[in-house]
Formats: sequence, C-alpha cells, structure tokens
Amino acid sequence: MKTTPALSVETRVDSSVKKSVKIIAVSVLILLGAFSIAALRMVPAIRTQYSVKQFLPENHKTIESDTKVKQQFGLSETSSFIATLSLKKGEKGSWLQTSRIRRLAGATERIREMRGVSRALSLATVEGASTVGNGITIGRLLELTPPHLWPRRVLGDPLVSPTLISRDGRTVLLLIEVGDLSNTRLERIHFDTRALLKATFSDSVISVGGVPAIQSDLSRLLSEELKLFLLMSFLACAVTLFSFFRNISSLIVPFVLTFVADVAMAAMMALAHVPFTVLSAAVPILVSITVVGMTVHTMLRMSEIAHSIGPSARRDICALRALRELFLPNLLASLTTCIGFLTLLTASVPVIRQFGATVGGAIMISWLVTTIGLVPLLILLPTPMPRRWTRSPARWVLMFMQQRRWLVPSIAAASLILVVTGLNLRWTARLLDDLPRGQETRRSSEHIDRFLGGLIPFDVVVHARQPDAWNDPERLEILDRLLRNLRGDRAIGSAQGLPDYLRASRLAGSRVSASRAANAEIYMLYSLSPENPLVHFLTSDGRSTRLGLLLRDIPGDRMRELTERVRRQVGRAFPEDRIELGGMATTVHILNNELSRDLIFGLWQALAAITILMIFVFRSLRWALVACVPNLIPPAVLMGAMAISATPIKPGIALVFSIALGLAFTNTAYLLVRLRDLTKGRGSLPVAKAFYLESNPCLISTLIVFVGFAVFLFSRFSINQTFGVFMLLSILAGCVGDLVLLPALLRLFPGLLQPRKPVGPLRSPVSSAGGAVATGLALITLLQATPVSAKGTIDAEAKKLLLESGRQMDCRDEIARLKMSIIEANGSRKERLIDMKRKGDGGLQRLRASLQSPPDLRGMSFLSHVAKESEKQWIYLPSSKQTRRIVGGGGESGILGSDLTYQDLNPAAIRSANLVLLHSKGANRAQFDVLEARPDKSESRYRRVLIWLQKGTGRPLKVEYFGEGDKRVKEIAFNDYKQFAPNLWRAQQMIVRNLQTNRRTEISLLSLKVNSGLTDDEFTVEALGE
Amino acid sequence: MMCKVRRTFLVILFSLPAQASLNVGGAVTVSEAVYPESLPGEVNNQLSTIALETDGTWRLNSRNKFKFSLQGRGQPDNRSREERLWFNPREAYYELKAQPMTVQLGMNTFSWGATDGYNPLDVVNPKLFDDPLRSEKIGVPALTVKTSLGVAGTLEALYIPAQTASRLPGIHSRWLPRDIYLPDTDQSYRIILPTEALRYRYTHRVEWAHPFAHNYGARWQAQLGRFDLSLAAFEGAAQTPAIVPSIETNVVQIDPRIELAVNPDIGLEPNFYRQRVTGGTVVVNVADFIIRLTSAYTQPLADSWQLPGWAHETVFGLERGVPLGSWTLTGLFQGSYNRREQGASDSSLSLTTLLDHAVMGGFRLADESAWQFYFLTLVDTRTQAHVTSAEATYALNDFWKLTLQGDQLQGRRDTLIGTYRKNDRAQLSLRRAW
Repeated sequence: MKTTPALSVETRVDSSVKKSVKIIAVSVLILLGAFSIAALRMVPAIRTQYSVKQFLPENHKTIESDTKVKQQFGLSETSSFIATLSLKKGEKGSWLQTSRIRRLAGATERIREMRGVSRALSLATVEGASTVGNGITIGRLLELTPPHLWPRRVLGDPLVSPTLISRDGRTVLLLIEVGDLSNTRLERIHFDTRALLKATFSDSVISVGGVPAIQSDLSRLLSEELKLFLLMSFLACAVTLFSFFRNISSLIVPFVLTFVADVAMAAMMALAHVPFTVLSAAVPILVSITVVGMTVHTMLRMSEIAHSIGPSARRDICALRALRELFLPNLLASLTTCIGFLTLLTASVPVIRQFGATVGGAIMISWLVTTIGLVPLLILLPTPMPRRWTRSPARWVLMFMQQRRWLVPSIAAASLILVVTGLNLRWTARLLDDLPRGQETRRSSEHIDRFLGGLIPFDVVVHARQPDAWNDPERLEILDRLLRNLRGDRAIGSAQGLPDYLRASRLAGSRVSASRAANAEIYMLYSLSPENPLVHFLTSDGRSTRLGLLLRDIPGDRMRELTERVRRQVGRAFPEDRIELGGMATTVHILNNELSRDLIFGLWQALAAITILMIFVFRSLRWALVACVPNLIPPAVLMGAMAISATPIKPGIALVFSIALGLAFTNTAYLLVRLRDLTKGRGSLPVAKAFYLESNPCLISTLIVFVGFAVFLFSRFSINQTFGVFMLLSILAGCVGDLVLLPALLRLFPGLLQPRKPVGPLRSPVSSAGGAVATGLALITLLQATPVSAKGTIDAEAKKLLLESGRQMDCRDEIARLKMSIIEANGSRKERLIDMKRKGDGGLQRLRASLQSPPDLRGMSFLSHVAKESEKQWIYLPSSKQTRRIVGGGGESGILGSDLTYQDLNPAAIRSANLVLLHSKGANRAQFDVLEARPDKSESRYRRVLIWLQKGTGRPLKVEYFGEGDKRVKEIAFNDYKQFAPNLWRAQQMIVRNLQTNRRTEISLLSLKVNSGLTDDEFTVEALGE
Repeated sequence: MMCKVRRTFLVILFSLPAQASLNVGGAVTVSEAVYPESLPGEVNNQLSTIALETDGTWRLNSRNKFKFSLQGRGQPDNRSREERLWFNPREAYYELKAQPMTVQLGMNTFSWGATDGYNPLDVVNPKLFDDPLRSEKIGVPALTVKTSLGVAGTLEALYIPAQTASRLPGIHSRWLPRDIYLPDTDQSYRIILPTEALRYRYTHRVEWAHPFAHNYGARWQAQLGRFDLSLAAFEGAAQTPAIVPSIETNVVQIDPRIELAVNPDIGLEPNFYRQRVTGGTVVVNVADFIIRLTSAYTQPLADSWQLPGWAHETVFGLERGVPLGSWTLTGLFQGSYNRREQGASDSSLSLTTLLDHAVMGGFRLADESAWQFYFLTLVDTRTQAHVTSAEATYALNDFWKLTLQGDQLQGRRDTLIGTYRKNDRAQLSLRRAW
C-alpha cells in the first residue's frame, strides 16, 4: 500500500520521537545503573551494631539510678558470658578435686588473656577469706583452704554456691566479662571459649550462655534468617506477581527497582554513618513494599490507559501518563509511611529515633528511585500484561457498598470492642524466650537460670544516715536475716551481701559479727586483698551497702512486682534508711515496656501528623479525617488480637504498629486521590466508579505484600513468627478498612466528602439585592482601554460595538461593596468582602480596594493607577502600617487568591490585541455579537479571547479565554444586568471559572453608588491607610 | 451663647451615631518556641506564648473616626518576670478629616522609610526588644497633622509630648550575652570569665538631653511618575539606648601578668539619649524591578563617651516578583553602606553595627490561597557570620493559620552574631483571627 507524503512525514516524525524517548530512557537507566554501582561500593562501610544499651533511653531515672549504683560499688557495666561445665554422667567425684580445680584455674587464666575479655572468674580463682591459725588470710579461696575442707567451706558458702558451683558439686560456672564489643568480636570470644573448654575438659559437658552469648547468637541467627527470608520473599512475591501478570517484564521492573532502592538506602546509611541495628532488618522489607506497591499500581494504571486508548496506544505515552496520574498518590503513599516513621523521632531511645529517621529516608529514596526508574523500564521492556481477571474492574466492591447499612456499624462496633480489649495488653515478656527452643545458648542460659543461682542481676542499696553504719552488729544481723529470707523466694536465684563476707572470714556457721571493732578489722583485712570483694558491697564511708541478687527469668510484670516487694521488705527492715535499686532487673523490662508503649501509642502522633499532611494535600479537613477512618482499623485489630492471644509485648512486636500504619495509608492514598480526580468537574461524588476502578490494583499490591510477610511464619524464632502473624493480621485489617469500610462508609454518608455546594449553571440566580456588578477593573479596563489605543488592528464594526458597550459601563466614579467567593474544586469556599472606589478621569483610571474580611486580611488595601501606557500599584499592609509599591501583580497569579488574574485584565495585552467581529452561527447569531481578540504572544499567555456582547444593548455577557492548542481555559460570565443611572448598566454578578483547575470565583455586588463626586485625594498613596 | 453651644453639642452627639459604623476584629495566637541549644543560667529553652490582638474602627461619619489596635501577650513560663505580660496600645486615636487636612490625636505608630528589615529612617516609635530579631513597635501618644499639597505630595508633622522608652530584654533573656568570648591576646593582663552563669541586673536609667520630652518630626512624600519620594526629619529619643555594662573583677594574680576574675553579677546601665535623624527615600519601578533606597543621617544631641557618635546609613534594596504558575515568587536583595564616627560606643543590643557591612537576600513564595514560604538570610560580609530565618505558613482557611518558623544564627564566637549563636530557634504558632 502506498502512503501519502504527509503520512510518511508523520510516520518519520513519530519514529524519531520514539527514538528520542528511547535514548532518554536508556540514558536514565545508565545513570541509575552507575548510581547503583557507586552506591554498592559504599555498602560494605555500613557498621552493624547490636547491644542491649542501644535500647536504653537517655536520662531515664531507672538508668540513672542503675548507673549510680554501679559507680558506687564498682560494678561492671557489661554483661558476662557464662560457661557451665557439668561432669559427664560416667565421671566420678565432683569438681572439688585438686586436679580438676588446677585445670579450671589454668583455663580461667587463658580465657582472661583473650582479646576483649576484661575479667574471667571461676571457683578456682575466686577471692575469699580464710581463718588460718589465729589470723585471717585473704586470697584465692581454694588456695587458702586445705583440700579436705573444700566441700565444707565451699558448698556452705552462699558467696560461692550455687553461683560458682552447683550444690551437688558436679557443675561449675565460669564468668567471662567482656567490654562493649562488636557482634563479630563477641562471636569470636564465644567460639574460642567453647573450643578451649572442650579441649581442656573432655570429662565435662560444656555450654556457653549469658546475655552476650544470646546477643551474638541472636544476631547471627537473625542475619542468617534475614537472608533466607529475603530470598523466600523474593520468590513468593515473584510467584504472586506472576499470578497477576502474564509476562516476565512485570517481574523484572519491580525487582530491579527494589534492588536499586535497597542499595541506595544502604549507601545512605553508610554515608550518614548509621549502623545496621536489629531494628534495621525491617528497612529492606519496607523499601520492597514501597517499590512493589508503586510499581504494581503504575503497571496496572498503564494497562488501563492502554486499554482505553486502544491498539494505537504508544507505550511511552501510556507509561508517562500513568506516572503523571499516579504521581500524587505515589508521593502521598510514601509520605504517609515516611511521616509515620518520622514521628519516632520524638522517642527517648536513640536507636528508635535512628530507626525512624532511617526508614523515613529509605521510603523517600524508594519513591525517588521508583519515580525516576519506572518509566524508562516500562518504555524499554515489553509492556507488563495483566491477566484478564487482574485487569477487570472490582465488581466485588459494589457488594460491600450494597451491604453498607450493616457493614459500617458492624466494623465500627468490632473495632471498638477490639480497642477496649486491647487496653489489657500483656506486659509479660521474658528475656530468654527470643531464641529457638533447644538452641545451645538458650539451654545453657536456662540451666544457669534454674540451677546456678539465676541470671538477671538485681541490686538493692541501703543508704544509712551515719558513717560506718555497717560496722554495727545489730544492723548486720538484720541484713543477714533479710538475705536469708530473700534466698527463700523461688524467683530469687541467689542473694549475697556484706554478712556473707563477714561470715566467710570466720568458721562456717559462726555468728555474722561480734562487735563494731571486730567488723572494722575484717573490713580492713579485706581491703588488703589485691581484688577486695567488699568494694562491691560497701562504700568507702561505710554508709551504704549493696545486696547483690540474681533473679530467675520470670515474666516482666512479675519481675516488677518482685523488685517492688524486695524494696518494701528492705524498707521495713531499715525504716530510717534510704533504699535505691539497680541492676538489669530494674531496667530491662521497664524500659522494654516503655519502648513498646512508645511504639504502640506513639502511633497516634503518627496519625495526627499524617492527618495534617492529608489536610494539606486534599486542602480539606473533611477529606483528611475520612482518610484516617479506615486506618484506625489495623491498630484496633492489632491491639485486640494481641490482648486476646495474650502475646507478651516486646519492642520487636510493638514495631508492627508503626509498619501497619505506614502500609494502611498507602491504599487510602490511591483510593482517595482517584476519587478526588474523578470528582473534579462533577457536582456528585463518584464513589462507586472510583472504587470500581482502583480497588483491584489496591487488592493486588496488598496481596503481594501479604505473601511477602507470610514468609515470617516459617521462622525458627517464635518472635519472628509472632511478628509475621500480626503483620498479616494488620495487612488484612488495613484491606478491610480501605476496601470494605471506606466504600461502604462513603456510600452510607455521601455528605462526608460531597462538595458542599454543587457547581451551578452559568446563569445562576443572584440573591444579592445590590445593584450592578463588576464595577471592577475587569470591565472597565477591558472595554475602555481597548478601543482607545489599540496597537493591534481593529475592524470598524468591532470598534463601534466596543464604544457602544463602553458607553453603557461608563461613569465618573463609583463606590461599591463587593463579595468575592472563591470555590475550590472540592467545594470548599472562601469569602472576601471588598470596599472599592473607582474614578475615571480621561485616560487615567484610579481604583482603590480595601479588604473588610476575612479577618486576617482586614485593612489591607490596594491602589492602582492605570494610564494609557503605564500601570502603577501600591499595597498597604496594616500590620506594619507600611505602603509598598508593587509591580505587575504577578501576571498569572490570582487576585486575592481568586481565579481572576492580573493577566486577564492586562491593559497592555488588550491594547496589543487584533480585534475582529465574528459573525456567530446558528441560534446565537440572533442574540450575540462575538468579538475575537488575539493578543500579542509577548503580552499574554492567551492565544485568543472571545467577548460575547448582547445584540442590541452591547452589554458583555461572557468572556472566554483560550490557551495553547485553542483549549478553552477560562470563562467569565456577567449576569443579571441592572440599570443604576440613565444609560448606566451593571451586571450584579460575575462568575470566573478556571476550566483547568475547576475552581471558580463569584463576585457579587452588595451595594453601588455612582457619580458621588470622589476627589483625587481618595486615590493617593497616603489615603491607602485610612 | 451657652445655649447655642449646648445645642450644637447635642446636635453633634445625636447626629453622629446615626451614621456611625463600628468594625472590630482581632486574633489570638498560640505559639511554642524551642531553643535546641541550652545556655548557662536561668534562661528559657522553650517559651509558650499566647497573644491577643484586637483592632477596630469606629467611623462616626465621613470626617470623624476613632481607630484602635491593642496587643496583649502572655508568656507564663518566661523566666524574666518583666516579659511575662505585655500590653501595647499600638493605636488608639481620634481622627478628624477636614480636607485637605487630617488630624490624628492619641496613641499611634508610624512607619517611615522604604526598606525592609533594616530601615534607618523608621525611628519614631520606641521598640520592644524582648526578641531583637523581631522587635515590635510600641505605640506613643502623638498629635499628627497631614496635609495634601496636591500634585506636590503630602506633608505630615507629628508631635509627641511624652515619648516612651524602648523595653530592653529581661534579665533572664537569651538576648543578653550569656556565652562571652574574650580573646587572650594581651600579654599584660588576662580576664578570667566566671565559671558560673552570668547574672544580669539593670541599674538606674540615665537620660541625656531630655530624650523623652517633646519629640517632633515631619515628613514630605510625593509620587512623581514612576518615583515615590520622601524626605523626613525627627528629633527625639533614640530607639536603642546605649548599654553600659558594670562589671566587677577581682585581681587573682599580678605576676607575671595581671589576671582579673570577672564577678558573674553584671550591672547594665541603659543610657537613653536624644538624637536628630534626617533622611530620605526613593522607590522606583524599573523593568519589573522595584528599587528602594533609604538614607539617613543620625546625630546624637548629647556628648558623652557612653553614647554612639554620628552615623550615616544607606540601604539599597531590589525586589522582583515572578509568577510561577499559581505561585508567586518575590525575591529580595538588600545591601547597606554605613559610616560612623570612629571610636564611639556601641551596644550589643543594637543591630545597627551588625548591618554596617551586611547583605540580605531572601524570597517569599506564596500560592493563591493556602501556602506561604519565606526565607531570609543576612550575612555580615566582614565576618561571614549570618542570621537565617525561614517560615512556612499554611492557611487552613480564612481564620486559622499555622506557621512554622526557624531562625539560625551562625558565626565565630568573637562576632556579634556569634555571641548569640546558641539562640537558634524553632517556633510553631497557630493563629485564629475573627
């Protein structure tokens, strides 16, 4: 077939455009690739960090108290590895044999020399006092005691048993204190210790536990699992995506972008020196969710656009249009998630603040990467092809709308019940249940916890009023009784105090103390020891003593009760003294619970911040509040589910709330932006259409995220399983909120988002009792400036019509009160009350306008002097009583926020226009004369202006402005003319419609007084402030 | 005769209200300011403010009106007791119009000069210096007469029988130097600053040449083509008094060099003085730019070492508005060139020396209805110290307005701005107008 020359030119232009688009797309991808490579090189610089301390808030009173206690008694700030050595079943005897103790001493010394180990202690190296002959000697306990007395000396001493040797003598314990080390170093110490002990003690079962061991194991296992999860999530998402899309490009696009976003996020962390903490594990997941969500929505929208255009649809145009349409919802979805996390910046814990900032930044990076990379990928790769059922509109959502009468109250009631139930959350977390059951570290720690005197330190300090109070035998007796009582409590593994050291210096079973002098002597002897153990139990001024307790791993709430009970017991024993508490038992659960509370209830801050963002985006409080309603469901469901399942709350679980909120708003953003876009230009709210079109993309992206999180159910860690369960629950709840409750709610209460006042017909009746209209600049400049001095051409008929029209408008001066109503596309309304004075004097038009309302602008006045070739303007600002000259008025910006711009009234543009009389066709021909003005391009953004004049009277009825492509962009209608003086007419109402933004401005005249003899003094700069 | 007067009075009394109209409005603003950096001593690191303002016009007829604008402010947690409550009758005057003259009698405020921020001719009203970066004018009792000269412009004369003193920052204010830097360069002596926080107190006020009695001034304004011109002269109290600190020191060492330990209790003696200011302004519109020029010569009318000497200040400003779709961007650049009498005293409260070699640049970005952003930075070209102020305002509707504001001061410790570098601030305020 032969093509016409014109067509072939078109084809050539088209192919050249396509080629250019491809070149741009390839360039963008090359840049993105280069950026990824550069970012990838920075990734190894990320530090990993895991420490219990990072979860501690700053300046918390329990921390301060704990730190003070530690400083007073020289206690180590760090936790210890605890190795247990249990004789194998076939082995005879106990650890209290010379050869075994010698080997234990050697192993303890070698461990002490390891890098990073600050102290190693075992039964073989523990210091103590022993009565030798008539004196007391201080030194290594077992070296001072003859071996045949070991069982009696050791097993009866609460300082040593069961904390260093079990009561049956077959298990010993080795304490290894370490500094604040990296996980790698901790793992090394853990490994080396186990290897050394296994090599040295073949007759024993070795296990290593303690908080650092748990930390290092937890960190290692978590990171192994994270890698596995990422792989499994990837596969699961791929399978899910493939079930919704037909071709491979729909998998490649999201995964390429996820990779780039993840790398960019990691580079950001490296650049900002942000370490990778245990919380940061959630960051790649959130990045993937953001990218996949945006990508899936865009691919589906692109398919929708291509389908609506038909076979001629160009891929690049469809991709660009899809991105343009989804730019706001994509941004909004990311921003809401980002804000949700940024509210964590108010938390008192540094690592939580860091987490909030990292996720906030990562989400926005994901948005940026996706926005930049998505279109080039969609252009270059084959068009993603959704399966038929994916592409079909969501008919199912209409069912929920039909059932709205029972659905809305039911969901609301269920949510309320869940919230009320959720107020009773369980704060019963333990410390050791994070690790998988049966895992060595957990087994060992549990063994120590149960049989070797407990694991969780708890310090009680008694501050006496007098110095050397603890030389007093009576006080020491009371303290001793108290310690014995405490040892009887099943939750307390062991309890040590000053009386134990005093007793240790005498024969076992003797009284704690004899006299003040004797006690002072013993203290003095202890102080001669190279490592005086009393410094940990008695302050140098003798006023304060410490009771060192080790508690078993009991639930958090019980631990709190226990610590309070002990405080009361000690208080009763020493009523005059001040009691202070310290140790992990007083900090870890309280702080974990506070942190969890921050994460759960800080959600409301996030919600408030997101609401403010929504107010800005939708420019409506109603829309913002409606957007929040469905997103209250996930937190309500989570609270209720956690309470009903009696899940112990931990920070790792509480984190679900923040993630859930971020996720939940994503769908809301897409749905409401679609609804708002469809509402433009309508008087009604197309709820059904919006949800019909947008629900399936939302459902599909949610399902992909759901499958991604389902992987957590296969974790070895119960905490991860729990996290997974609650994440899935929150995703489902969010889905119910957005896709069930929201459409039903909007159908049930259409007035919630309905524009308050529907857009009326062009000639709406005017209730104003006032006289004429549009006194203002509009008609005066339009009709008077034009014929007098047109630079452009003007035909004779047009000139005659305009002169006639101008005569009907003309008067010497006028005083008017105008009401200006600005009506936004969403129906919100603003009103301004303006007092205006105008005086025309030959070629000079003077106008003074003063705002009477709104309150914030009251007193602001404008003065304008418009001459043939020039225009001068001043503004008076009442707050500073300043009059300022202004220029031009900003051209395209609206006067007082209205749709009437300075350019609409630009006399230079009007004067430069070519004016002709168009002879209208059809029925209009009898009613109107239509003038066409074509302004100079340099003077106006309008390509042409049509002025509709009433035939016979010459009164202007309508002015239409046309922009690029001869598209009608604005319209001003003049309604309800009334005669005010002989041969003087004014319209009572002027309606300016911006057809691009769907805003409109109605200007009504409330009163008008003409030819009242205004003087020039009324229009001076000085008069502006009056 | 008395009967005629009584009848005239009654006619006026009963006829005026028949045409009278009263238009009253106001606003309440609640704000919370946070200073992230703490300073030694009892200063506020955060400050809650509630401000009320009301204004109105009682127009008796076309010739007579009564206008008022009252401001009140409470800062209950302000450590400076004197700053906790503040009431300012900015305006409360009666106006009589008898063409071509207008007479105003009562409390009033005046805006002279044409430049922004730094306006050396705007000297009539005393100021409230609780926050020197945003000082406010205080209303003064004045008689003002304005007369139109037709095309030759307008002449305005004012007389203030009893001028008011500017209010200085409270003794616990962050705007009194708290973190002083003294370079240790002199070989003969060294000053040791106290380790504890400085404690300020105001000593008795000194007045030079009766600054508050009989202040007066005049101004001529005219619009000649594209030029707005004005000439002005004013004699009266200087807005910023000279502050003379009274510092006690103890000699702690004599050899090898003298060391003086400063007592943390410092007295501040405000020296109010009379001055004469003359100057003029030109505003011209050239190719979509607005050029503003203000020049003023100030001469103190008393001779004392405590007082500053003469000063000639010239400020040049350039402004341009650019439409950006539905937004309008207004850019501003301002520079100053000042000359002062050498060796005269100055006060760290006054911003004038800071502005001697300063350039200021900024912009205001506003959309048609809701948003407004404002950014301004002032750089001292000698020291590169700078003050930056940014503001975002969102008008929820015509009545509610939310504003987030931030100030940053940065500079070496030995510069004037650097002295206050820890006064960075973020402020959130909510305003409801009616």
